[in-house]
Amino acid sequence: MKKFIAGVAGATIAVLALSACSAGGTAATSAAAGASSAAGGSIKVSLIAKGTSDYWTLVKNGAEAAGKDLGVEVTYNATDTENEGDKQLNLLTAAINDKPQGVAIAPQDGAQDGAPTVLDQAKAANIPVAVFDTPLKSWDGAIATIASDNEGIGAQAAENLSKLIGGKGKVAMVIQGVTGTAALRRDGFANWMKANAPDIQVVDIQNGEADPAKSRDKAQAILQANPDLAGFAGTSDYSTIAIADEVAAKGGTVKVVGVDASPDVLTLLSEGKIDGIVTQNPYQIGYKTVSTLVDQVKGKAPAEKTIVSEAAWVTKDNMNNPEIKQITG
Amino acid sequence: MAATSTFTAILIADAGLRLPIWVGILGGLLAGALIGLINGSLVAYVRMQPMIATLAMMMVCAGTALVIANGKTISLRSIQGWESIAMGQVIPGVPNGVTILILLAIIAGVVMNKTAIGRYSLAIGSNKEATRISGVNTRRWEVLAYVICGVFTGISGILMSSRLAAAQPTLGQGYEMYAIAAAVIGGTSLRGGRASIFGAVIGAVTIQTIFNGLTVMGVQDQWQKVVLGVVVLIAVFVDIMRRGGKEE
Repeated sequence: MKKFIAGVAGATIAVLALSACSAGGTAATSAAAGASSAAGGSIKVSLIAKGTSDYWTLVKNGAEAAGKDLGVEVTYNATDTENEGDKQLNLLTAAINDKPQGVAIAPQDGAQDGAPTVLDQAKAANIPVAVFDTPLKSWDGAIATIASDNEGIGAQAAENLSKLIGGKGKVAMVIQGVTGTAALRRDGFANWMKANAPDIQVVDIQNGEADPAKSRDKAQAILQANPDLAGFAGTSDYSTIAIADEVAAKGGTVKVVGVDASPDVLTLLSEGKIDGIVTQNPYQIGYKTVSTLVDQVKGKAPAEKTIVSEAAWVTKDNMNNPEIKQITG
Repeated sequence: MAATSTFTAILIADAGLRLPIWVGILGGLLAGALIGLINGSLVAYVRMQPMIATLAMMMVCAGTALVIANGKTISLRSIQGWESIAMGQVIPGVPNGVTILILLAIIAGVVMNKTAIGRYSLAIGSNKEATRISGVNTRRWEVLAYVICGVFTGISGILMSSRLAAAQPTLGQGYEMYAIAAAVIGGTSLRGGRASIFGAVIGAVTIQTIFNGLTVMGVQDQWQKVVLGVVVLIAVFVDIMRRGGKEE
């Protein structure tokens, strides 16, 4: 809500500044104010996200950068956690009522079933809808879905972990949920192991509920139960940090891989406590969501219904490369 | 109660200012005491329902934590010495978190059994009116009980953020139920008048052992919650039986 108000306030100020310019203001002020909203006519797009972690900050940064580059106004709102489907639907309804030229949603599990009805209203009002980060099942009215291939990410983590432990031994996972992206990554990981690594045994997969403390408890118990564990994988930043800290506390030789690069994950990577991470490109997801919507508004429909944002394998060795730096922020 | 998150977040704010660690700790404890003071005043002087007042305050705190942390997790990894508050080992082989727990439990046990605040708290919980008529300023003692509770919540926030080397503004959601479960398993009466510090510690250890044991056994999270709920129900049932089926 605060962001929403700030967004509205910002827009108001920009509009005021512009009208002042047209009334004979100086060129200097018009350039400053025009950067955010003037150049694109009055295109306004609204993004509804579902979290406040570092990952979502990167999505937001990408979306705002696209807004700046394309000269459109971007409103970004998000629920605090991924367990507030009803709240997310309220945000979505409010965004649509604000009559933007485009709207995009990263549907959380709790909003999956309720979103179609609300999005139908957007469609009826001729507002193009894009879906980002997480695919929206049960509604096919979106102009495009901009997301990572989460099963592919799980498989990528599995493949690299298998290489790190020489293709044999026991591995385990701590995941951040049992639905949505967490489930896809888990399945991608487990299926890859089953198909390609006959000598690797996935001994346990536990849910840390995207809660750092609970994730650590799970990681600790798994290490207690399996003293001969060879590899350990997390499916989100919190679960990966929890695993790395527990493995380091135990002082073992367990190889640790994970998903998503938050600043703490990168610190642990540089300290050698994490061996590698598959990282999505949240910045690119945010950027592409806005640019896809803007293209649509300007009459250019996206070529594909699914726009995959490529994931990258980041290790201590390549983490400082410029192209990786841009992804990890 | 569940204001843990606020403390954590306040500490971070302090860390953001790069103030020394002890300032952060003091800030967390003071914030806890302040929230306890507000809770206590609302209950004792404004006569609000304790459950409603604290639930409302919980929402205020959870929201405030998000506001001051700007909605983000704040890393404390770079703060020298912060992790060692809970994870260091002053006594070799025993993490400080455990040492602190034992020390606090002993202090709390003494306070509960040997001091006026402890005895009055139990008396107020048992029968507020009778305690008041006996000439005890029940309101003042009630407020003090809430302040102590707040300080302890502050301590838990500090320990949690130390263990995680980060402060997450959404941390601790749902933990109030674990706290209640621990107290109930330990034989504390929710209707007041009966409480045991030792019992509560045993209750907390029991809960954590259940979670840990089930994870070691490879039982999934969903079922772990079912088991915990059933254990709490059994604990309450056994308690009723022990007192001969009488309702308080």
